[in-house]
Amino acid sequence: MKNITSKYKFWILIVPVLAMLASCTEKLEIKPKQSINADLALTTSDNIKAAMVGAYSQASNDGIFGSYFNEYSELYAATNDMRFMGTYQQPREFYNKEATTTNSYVETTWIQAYELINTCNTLLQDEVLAVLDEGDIDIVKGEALFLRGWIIFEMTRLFGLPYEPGQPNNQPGIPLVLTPTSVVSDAVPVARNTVEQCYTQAEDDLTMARDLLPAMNGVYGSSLSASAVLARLYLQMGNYPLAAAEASRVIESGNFALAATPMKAFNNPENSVEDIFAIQKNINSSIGWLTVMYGSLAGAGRGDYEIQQVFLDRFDPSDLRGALQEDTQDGYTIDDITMMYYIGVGTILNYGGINTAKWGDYYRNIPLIRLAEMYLIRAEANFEDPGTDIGPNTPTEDINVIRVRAHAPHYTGDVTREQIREERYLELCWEGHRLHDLKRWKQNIGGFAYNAGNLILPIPFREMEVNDLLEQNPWYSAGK
Amino acid sequence: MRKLLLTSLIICTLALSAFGQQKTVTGTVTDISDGLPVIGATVLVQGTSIGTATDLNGKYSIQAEPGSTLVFRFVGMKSQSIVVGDRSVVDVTLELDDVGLDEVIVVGYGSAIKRELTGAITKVETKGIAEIPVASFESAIQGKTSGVFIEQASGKLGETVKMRIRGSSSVSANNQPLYVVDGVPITAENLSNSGNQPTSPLADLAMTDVESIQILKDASAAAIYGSRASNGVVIIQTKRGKAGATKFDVQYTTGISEPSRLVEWLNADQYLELFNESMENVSVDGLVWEWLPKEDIWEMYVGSTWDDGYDTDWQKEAFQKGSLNRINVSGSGGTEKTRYYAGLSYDDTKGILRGNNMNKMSARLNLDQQATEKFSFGMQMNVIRTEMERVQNDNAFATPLQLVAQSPLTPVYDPETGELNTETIYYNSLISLRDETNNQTSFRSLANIYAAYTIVKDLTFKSEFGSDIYDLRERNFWGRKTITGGPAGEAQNRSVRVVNYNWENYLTYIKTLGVHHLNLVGGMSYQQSNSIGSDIFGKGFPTDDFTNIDNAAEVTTYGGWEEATSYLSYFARANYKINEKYFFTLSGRVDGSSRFGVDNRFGFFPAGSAGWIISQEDFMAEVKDVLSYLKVRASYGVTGNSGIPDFAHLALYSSVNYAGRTGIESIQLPSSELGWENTAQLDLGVDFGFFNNRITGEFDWYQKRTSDLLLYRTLPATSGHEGIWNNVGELENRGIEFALHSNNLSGKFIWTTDFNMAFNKNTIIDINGPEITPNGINYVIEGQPIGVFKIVKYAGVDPDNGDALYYISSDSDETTNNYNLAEKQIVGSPNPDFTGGFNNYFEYAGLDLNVLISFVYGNEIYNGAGVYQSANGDWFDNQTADQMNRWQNVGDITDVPQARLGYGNGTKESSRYLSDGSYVRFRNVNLGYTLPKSLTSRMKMSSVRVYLGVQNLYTLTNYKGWDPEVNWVGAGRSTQNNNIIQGYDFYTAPQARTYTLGINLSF
Repeated sequence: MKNITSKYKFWILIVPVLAMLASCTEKLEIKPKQSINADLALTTSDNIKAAMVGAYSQASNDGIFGSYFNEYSELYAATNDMRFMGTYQQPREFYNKEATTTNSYVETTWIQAYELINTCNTLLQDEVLAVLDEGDIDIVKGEALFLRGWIIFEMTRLFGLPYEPGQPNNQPGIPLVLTPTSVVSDAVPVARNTVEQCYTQAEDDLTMARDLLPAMNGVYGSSLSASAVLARLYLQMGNYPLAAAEASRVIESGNFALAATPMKAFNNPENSVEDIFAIQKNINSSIGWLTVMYGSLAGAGRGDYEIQQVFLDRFDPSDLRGALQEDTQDGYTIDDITMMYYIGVGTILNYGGINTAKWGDYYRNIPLIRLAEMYLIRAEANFEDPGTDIGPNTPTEDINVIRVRAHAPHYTGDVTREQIREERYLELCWEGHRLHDLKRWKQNIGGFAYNAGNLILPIPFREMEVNDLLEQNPWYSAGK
Repeated sequence: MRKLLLTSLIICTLALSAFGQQKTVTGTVTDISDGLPVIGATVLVQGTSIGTATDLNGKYSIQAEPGSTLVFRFVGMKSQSIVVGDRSVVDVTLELDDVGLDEVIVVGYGSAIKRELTGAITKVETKGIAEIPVASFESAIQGKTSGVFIEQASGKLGETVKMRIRGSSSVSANNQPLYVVDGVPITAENLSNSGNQPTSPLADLAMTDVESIQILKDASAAAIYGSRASNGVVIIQTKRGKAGATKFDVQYTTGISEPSRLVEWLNADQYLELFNESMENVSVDGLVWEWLPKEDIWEMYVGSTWDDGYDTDWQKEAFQKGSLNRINVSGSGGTEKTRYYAGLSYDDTKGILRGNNMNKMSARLNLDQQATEKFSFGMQMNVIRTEMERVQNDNAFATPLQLVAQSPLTPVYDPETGELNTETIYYNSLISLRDETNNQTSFRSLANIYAAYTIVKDLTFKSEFGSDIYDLRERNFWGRKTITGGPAGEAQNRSVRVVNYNWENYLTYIKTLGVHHLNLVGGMSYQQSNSIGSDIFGKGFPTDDFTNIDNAAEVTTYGGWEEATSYLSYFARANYKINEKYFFTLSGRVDGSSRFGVDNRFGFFPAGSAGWIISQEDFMAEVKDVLSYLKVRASYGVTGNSGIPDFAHLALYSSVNYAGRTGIESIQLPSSELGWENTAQLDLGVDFGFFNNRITGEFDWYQKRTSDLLLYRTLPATSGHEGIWNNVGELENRGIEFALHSNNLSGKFIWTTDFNMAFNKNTIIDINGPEITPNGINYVIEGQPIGVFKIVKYAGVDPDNGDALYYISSDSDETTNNYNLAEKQIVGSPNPDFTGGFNNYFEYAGLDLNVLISFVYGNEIYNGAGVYQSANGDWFDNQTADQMNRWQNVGDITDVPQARLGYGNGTKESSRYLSDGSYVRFRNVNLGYTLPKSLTSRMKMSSVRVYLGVQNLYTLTNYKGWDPEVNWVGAGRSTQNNNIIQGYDFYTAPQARTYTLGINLSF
């Protein structure tokens, strides 16, 4: 009897064990909870539209449109108008016009730009677009082309030597990757295309986007915002008639208006009437790096980019764009700032210098293209190519539109080239245009020729290491 | 309890009545093996200083009381204690002491006798570790085991401790060993937020509960743990009760601590001198940078107090007087059938850094019950609460040690308001220490229940269910005046819960037939670990008096996640022993994990080993007097590594938030063939004992080759992806280990010495792609050890003009002052050539002294903050005192370039900031006194010991920073970054020097 009991007890123990052995294998199948499998991601219309929103989120990253594109331009172009006061090595290198191939800013830019390009490429596949409702196809396709064309343009003018109108432009731009990577075997080395090819691709993408998209498309890419980027691209190429045409299309559409004052064009929680395209930020967005570097207010910004008095002296005393608020106090936030420049009061770092109010809060929208820029493009393009008077205004009238809004005395006689260029400087300063303008105008930058090799970015070291087909920019190939 | 008191009283009375009745006791001491007299053996009356030695005939004579105990000792023999009683002749036979050789060692799924081991397993001496004033048990065993390199990240409390058993066996996957506590692989990885340094869940374990720690180093020992054993296994057993009267132990330790080393910084005069010169060197016509006069620059950057005569020692402000209070109480005992151990532990430590505190409470109950002759069961239950007040990441302005960057010319307090000065060159992190809370609290329950049943004679079935439930809460608040919390305060609530359970079922069969002895183990285990977490940030508080997230005006960031891993395994092992001389082990484990694709889900991990005790052979009899013990061992096997993120094999999209809409984005390419990382290890070892095992030791040579590396392979970013997890590449660790134990003296005066040393050479053989670097300093390069330093090599200063010079390339002596023209080259390695420890223990008349020294040799350290701290006055950060040796005049020979404010002369990353990281450290010195028995018994105690200790008494090193034991891995880290970034210092706090005073009472 005792023996039987023992055996019985043994089975009590062993049975669940055996049962478990049989059922365990399926327990190794664990599905992710807060991510989805890629197979699912591109098979429904909703998911594809969500992936399109994801592309804008990628575009807004600090490494590209969110901040670095702006900083590269303003740091390289800085001479005596702005001083870099911070301790970070990366921006200091651009400020000194001596970047290194391992600069982490540059690496991040490269990675984030191609993340965006890959997302656009993924969305542009026919089989993906086919999943969408008829009415959505053109919109998704147009938006993906809009972002791809724009990023190719911005990247080309940062990594390639300047576009020379009328020349073959065989200097290397960036690698044009136009097909998506969905498996690792697609991740192959690619060579750099020429600057000409890059500009052509950007132009094609943006033109197609302009034609596919509706005039206005909420806060997303639209036909008019594609035109605005095209205007910028044609201006950079020195193609004045087309630059003026695209700019005029935007201005004359009547969908935008200049904000009441220059200050009202910035730090808005929603797009202002002047915003043709702006990065959307709200309290749930990540901390905006642009504000970290430019701002110096309570809890916002290091104030590393300090604007110099000599620059403010360029403004007419009545010009709102050059007004300096000197009575700032501890605890001030952007809501307490009423003028375009203020004496920094930051809690993060505070040098007590002059800071621009354009980027004063982490969680406010970042205008990337404002209507003011369109007036300036049209004025300059019509001026440089007097034959084609595109739009109802003369260059002088266009410039005066900007000046009147800024309470600057308007020009009575015809504007000169210098006045147009100066106006662009005063209106668009700290918005990421200066370096490209100086290059366009073939002006020296801090003692370097406009096409000097150290005024373009290096191909990042990490990328050179994994891609044998890449050619480094000459100024950087001497040392690593 | 009353009974206990009564018994104590009776014993006490008896003891007292016996006191003073001295008599002469005589006898002979002989050797049990041959019956010959033992000459010179020590005979002591326990608890007194009365003692004698045996003569040439092994005879002795001593005065003793009937109640006293005689202790007989001789080198290489086991000591014996005999109560005199009414005898006047006490003859004693002593037997050979195979020091440690008959020790029971816990191996996976069973235990073994040390002499029978065929694999490389080290049992760590745990005696006294509860007296060591460190937060985590790994720190307490630093330097005690050969081949185990333990390094603390910093002097902050409760942070992850790096443990490398026989080197790093992976590039991208986990390199920490598997920790098994009472049979359960516990949650050991950091779960704190990635914005701060990692913390260690291992710090939760109360050291007083630890009975034994064994480290499985080779494949034969570890393969039974299969897929997670490549980095070795650390098996921890907690204390169990023994049959007998209840024994109480009370331990109280108190102590104070201070930084073990400080760095010398410029004082106000030096600072003024250096920076005035630095400005003059970049001035034209009296204008710094052709811009402003010096006074204006001083005013602008250093602030209005620059010429007010302040001389602030900011380093002092970062530290506080640390303290430690620890109390452990335990009771254990039982009957033949029921045994128990109950322990309670409380530890309150105030760190050396301002604002850094830790408080631990732990309660444990271990119960074992022999229900019937055949059936037993038991339970171990441990509930722990650990609370930490943390300071910010080393790379944050708000961390205390970044205060050293402040100018000595600025005061700590604003002279007008008396408040903390806000006009400092960098954010004054004392504001954070005043207006922030960084609180982390974890609750943990480690519970383990088992049942064992003897089915038939020799065959036992055991089922064991263990769980580790870990709940972590972080509650942070940053006031409105802090760098993080402006303009209106910010708070974070973060919680993580990990439920990790493990079920094991196995059969053990033990059979002896004549000279043949067989031990078979076979079974299965299933483990699952689910982790769930959430994280919320809120901004905008009415005032700083409101600190709860509920008071926030807006929620800024929020997140939640759920992850899980599971393992299903089958294992078997056979131990076969012949004639107590020849030993063989074969083992194998099949492991399946959810972390891999269906195709490569299961892995097989076999191992085999053999041992031969040569000294048991007849032909060794002649040399037995000298070589008393000799064993050779050999093992070979394969172990695995699966320490990568969950779901690395899947193509994934995750969600993002943009413009109030939720989008999705691709985050990972598929890697469907992803499988185990395999490490094949060969180990050859010799164990030996000389002169009756007066000196014993072991020596091991090993080669560990890891193939199919789980590598996060870099992809061309033009693909839109940065990398992918693949099984590619190979690396190798090769080394020797050596451990020696010597009983130098025994008798009245006892002196033992332990010495261990290990050499490991790590080589990356193949990574099938470009060099990998997370920080541009530490690299993974084929043919080099992991984490090797590759940076521009500094060539000193041009005596003609004070320019910093760099070597153009590794194969040229040519130098340049243009940093961009200098190629990066390999300039050092963070991996030491050898590491080890040297321990000496002395005992005399109740006094004992233990001195533990550990050493590390041949590694380099890169000071990432050097570009700010030692930059010849390039920027206004206060400089290390050695920067006063800057170049000033033509012909000056120095390695500190000319001071040029803002010009970056020599301040780019280079080997200028690399230095030798070797050190010898007096890790622990502990002096104790055990009160004489006669006295303690009058106090109704069985033992009373008081002790004085010093941790990190002195460190001998050439390193110029705070502490050569340093490893800052930074925020936003990944496992791969942790593996590669080694020997990196960034305002990292030194270890504490702690002075302790304690008492142990047993009754």
